[in-house]
Amino acid sequence: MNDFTSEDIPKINQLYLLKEFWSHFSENKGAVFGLTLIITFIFIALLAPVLAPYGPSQIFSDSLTLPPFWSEGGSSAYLLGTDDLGRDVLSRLIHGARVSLFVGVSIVLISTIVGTSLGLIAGYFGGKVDSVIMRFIDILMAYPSILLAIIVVSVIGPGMTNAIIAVAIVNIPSFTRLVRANVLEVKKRQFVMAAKTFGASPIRIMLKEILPNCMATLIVQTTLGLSEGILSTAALGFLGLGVQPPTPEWGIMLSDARPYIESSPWLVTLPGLCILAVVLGLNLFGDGLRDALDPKLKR
Amino acid sequence: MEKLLDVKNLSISFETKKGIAHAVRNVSFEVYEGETLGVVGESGCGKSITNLAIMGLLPENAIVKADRLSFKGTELLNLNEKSWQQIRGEKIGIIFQDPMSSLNPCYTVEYQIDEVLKIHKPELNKELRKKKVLSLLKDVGIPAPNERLKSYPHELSGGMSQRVMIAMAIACDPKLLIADEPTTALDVTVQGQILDLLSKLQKTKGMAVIFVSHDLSVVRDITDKIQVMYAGEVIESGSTEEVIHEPRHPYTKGLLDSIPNFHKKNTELYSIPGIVPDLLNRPNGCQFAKRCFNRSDDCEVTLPSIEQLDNRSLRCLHPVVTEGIKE
Repeated sequence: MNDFTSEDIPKINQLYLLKEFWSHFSENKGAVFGLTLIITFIFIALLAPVLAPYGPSQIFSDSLTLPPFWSEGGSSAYLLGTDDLGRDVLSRLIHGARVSLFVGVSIVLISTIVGTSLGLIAGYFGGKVDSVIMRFIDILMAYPSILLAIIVVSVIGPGMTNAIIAVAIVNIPSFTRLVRANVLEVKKRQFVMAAKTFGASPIRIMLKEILPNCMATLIVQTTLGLSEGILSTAALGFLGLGVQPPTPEWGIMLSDARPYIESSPWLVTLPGLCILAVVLGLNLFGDGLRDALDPKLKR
Repeated sequence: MEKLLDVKNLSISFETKKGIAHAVRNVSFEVYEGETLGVVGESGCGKSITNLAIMGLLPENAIVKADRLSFKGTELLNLNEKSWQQIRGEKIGIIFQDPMSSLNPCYTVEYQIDEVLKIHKPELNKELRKKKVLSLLKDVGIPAPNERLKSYPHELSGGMSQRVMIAMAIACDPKLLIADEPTTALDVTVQGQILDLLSKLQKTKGMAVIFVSHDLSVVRDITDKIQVMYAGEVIESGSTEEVIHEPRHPYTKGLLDSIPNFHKKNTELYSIPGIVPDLLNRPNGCQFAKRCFNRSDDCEVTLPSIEQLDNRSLRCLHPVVTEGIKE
């Protein structure tokens, strides 16, 4: 017989799986770059009060619309300049990372949970349940996403929470369709039938047998949904329907700076670059994840 | 001995786009405690469908009719989902043909066996369940069970996976185990081991087993009774010994003649000509008539009824007479 004890095995297994995942993932340089970007932003968001030189709403009335330190007239006291009200842009951007990531994560959490449950139910039960859920999803999809978000916000009113709800609703269809398609495939596999023969209830089969087998695609969709959420919230903020001033949100910073686009171009450029960097990072990371997790694309 | 499973005139049909397909017609059989019943027939003759009906797992477009379909006195036909869940796994277990796809790739062996116990034996705590899982793995003859607990299905061979499936199926000591071609997907060398394991488990646990196969040579060794099915009908049944040595139905004889004989060289292997009739458009007379070597004109017109003759039953107008097949 063997000398292995049961304690030895799982560690080796999990470490091995992780290593294998990393070796696939790190082959994709873009994905690693994306991951670094995201980690940097998460780090900035978590340490915002420490990293930011000033408070996000602190007003320095003696230095309005100062350019960044490298251009003429800039001051090293305000590294990235100040806005039209005399607030430090760098501090606002750093605190903005907090808001944007919080908003993005909340949106993804809500839309993943709701979207996945709907997809599981529709795919597993099929028939009329499926038709009702999917037609509802079709209706949601028939609207351009930002328009739908605007409709939702105009019904329930602007504000951060409502913006989160609105964008989450907009994001639901992509999760539902993805999960449903996955469930339709997985539920025909023999182990689902086997689970039934062991007397497992439908809920157990959905959550414990089918869902784990949809995880790979779901994780990827989550990262992509996160970037979409951040983008949509910024757009809502820009339109004045999302997060309300003076909260330092990147979208609002963009829209506030719009009148000064010619005289103080850094005011629109910098928040725009932040949005770009986070979304790009998430998309690159998501693509890398998909390649690493999808067994069909391996080698 | 007590009667476990009692099936009388079970008919299963499916509503398809092209019409109603009668997959199983008037099948009756009984399984007593501790007994092994072999169900034999070629692909598409209704063996697996009958099993799924016993487990209540037919797809929704299936129409099931029966005079009686009961397990230990419980009528199964109108059972609700909750009661089914209590029967499945606990009173009736089933193992399928392809063990590799019957295990969930996401979980370890331990987790999957443990889950069956969690469903049916909520009174056991974690430690007791772990002990039980370990003893089950030992029962089904998995070497180094401690090491195997944390294995994922892709790390197991086919035979090993089938052993794990058997462990899951017998986890709650069911009274009846349905083995649906359990060795078809396995190597010949492993096949014998699994068969031995099944008959050993059956003796020690006192289970009744329904053993489904298309291979009479496999069924011969481990069953007490045999029931041959063709096109959704039982055409011959009786004790294994008698049916194998003295087949009365031309189809049974054809099946027996189709078993490759290792020792006879240079002889062409027999095969039954033709294919199973279209279930959407069944012939009027004997279902096997078109392929039968012993047919006469009346076979195509009248559907033979099932006749009972001292412990054997037969559905044929012109049974063959054999003096026993020499091995």
